[in-house]
Amino acid sequence: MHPIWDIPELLAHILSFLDEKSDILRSALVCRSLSVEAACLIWKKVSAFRYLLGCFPNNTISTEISGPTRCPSRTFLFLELPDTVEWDQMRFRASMVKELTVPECDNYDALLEVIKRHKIDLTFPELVSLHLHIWVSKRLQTSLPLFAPSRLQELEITFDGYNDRLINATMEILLAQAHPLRSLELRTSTFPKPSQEYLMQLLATTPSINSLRLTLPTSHGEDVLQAVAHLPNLRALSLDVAVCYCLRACTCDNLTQHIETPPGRDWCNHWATEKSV
Amino acid sequence: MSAAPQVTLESSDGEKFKVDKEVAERSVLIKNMIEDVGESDNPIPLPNVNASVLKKVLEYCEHHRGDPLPAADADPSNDDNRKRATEISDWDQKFIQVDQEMLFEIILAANYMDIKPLLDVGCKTVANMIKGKTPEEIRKLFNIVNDFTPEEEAQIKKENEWAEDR
Repeated sequence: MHPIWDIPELLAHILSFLDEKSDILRSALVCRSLSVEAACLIWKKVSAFRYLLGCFPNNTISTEISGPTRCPSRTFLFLELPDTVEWDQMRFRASMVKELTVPECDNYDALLEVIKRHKIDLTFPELVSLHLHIWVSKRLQTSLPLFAPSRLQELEITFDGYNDRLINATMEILLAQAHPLRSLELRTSTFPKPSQEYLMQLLATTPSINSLRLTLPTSHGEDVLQAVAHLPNLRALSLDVAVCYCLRACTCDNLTQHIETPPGRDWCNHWATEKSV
Repeated sequence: MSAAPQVTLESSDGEKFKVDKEVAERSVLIKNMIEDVGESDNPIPLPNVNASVLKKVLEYCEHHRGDPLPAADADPSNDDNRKRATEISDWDQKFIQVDQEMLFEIILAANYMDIKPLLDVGCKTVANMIKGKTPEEIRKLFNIVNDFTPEEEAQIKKENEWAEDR
């Protein structure tokens, strides 16, 4: 066996040229050294938090599926507590994740309770992109510190519901800490005052934001606009905010070269003109 | 017209190669050594590269002497950069048609001498050889020992199951 197969950085470089996931998956089964490097690529982008549960043996977790087939809700229950090695395995995988989606209706209460009760140190230290889609309240907010971003660059939160406490907790935990953020997308059906304050604080302290998409109800759209106008690196903007009695929308991509605003939106025109100068 | 400045490189087995400085400086390692030490008549030692491999590496550097140097901060995860990166030019394809031992030695030399475009060509070639093969076929092709226990292999299959078809 040539010594090249024992040099991690070269193996990682070779694997980086495999475009098909199936090739990477097969490479993971060749030998231990290739497996480690392949795992970094496989676990880089995880499209549902539940896939991390695959690190546990089959007899550890049961999954109950309910709700419509189109959008099933899974509840994960522990049949047996994982041992230290199995937790380490999960932590190891979590440490490779750079892009994570926490989708819709899955119920992680049992997992979160165990993590909390046994003080399991599960974090995502490499996470740069988080897509959080909260459709039901559950107790997902207790898990948010797991994703508390120290180097997050992209944050997308879709919140469909009217649980003010949950949206405030989400905003407090995520917006207050996401400082190297470049892209922020928020879509909420409720946006209470504390959440707005967290957002304003983020906009005031995060000049790195270059893409901002907000779809949310607020009675302080002018304040949001003022804060947005001071973002020095903004290149793409989509605002859809309800202000008082009328819906005001503004979409601008590549702000420095091309600015379009809906006719009759004075505040948009004023802002866009100022920005173009 | 004055002759192009030249430098002498010495392989691990003592063979000396006199080449244009511009060619040698395709290697970031050599470029930095020349900058650090200054112009000198002493040969630059390359203790990790033997003569046959160095000859091949210099053939690559000679052919690509005028190419723009790759940006140090190019993001390989960027789709455009990747697309460009997965293509191998006709000349490079012919150049890299060597036996497996030489292919790996070129990769090691490119890595040691810090010649990123050559490293990419070598690694892309190995990646192309891996594409579409089963784990057993990959092991057989590269003479790799399967060091998994059956339990480890089953665990990896289970853990990665979710990634199939995604």
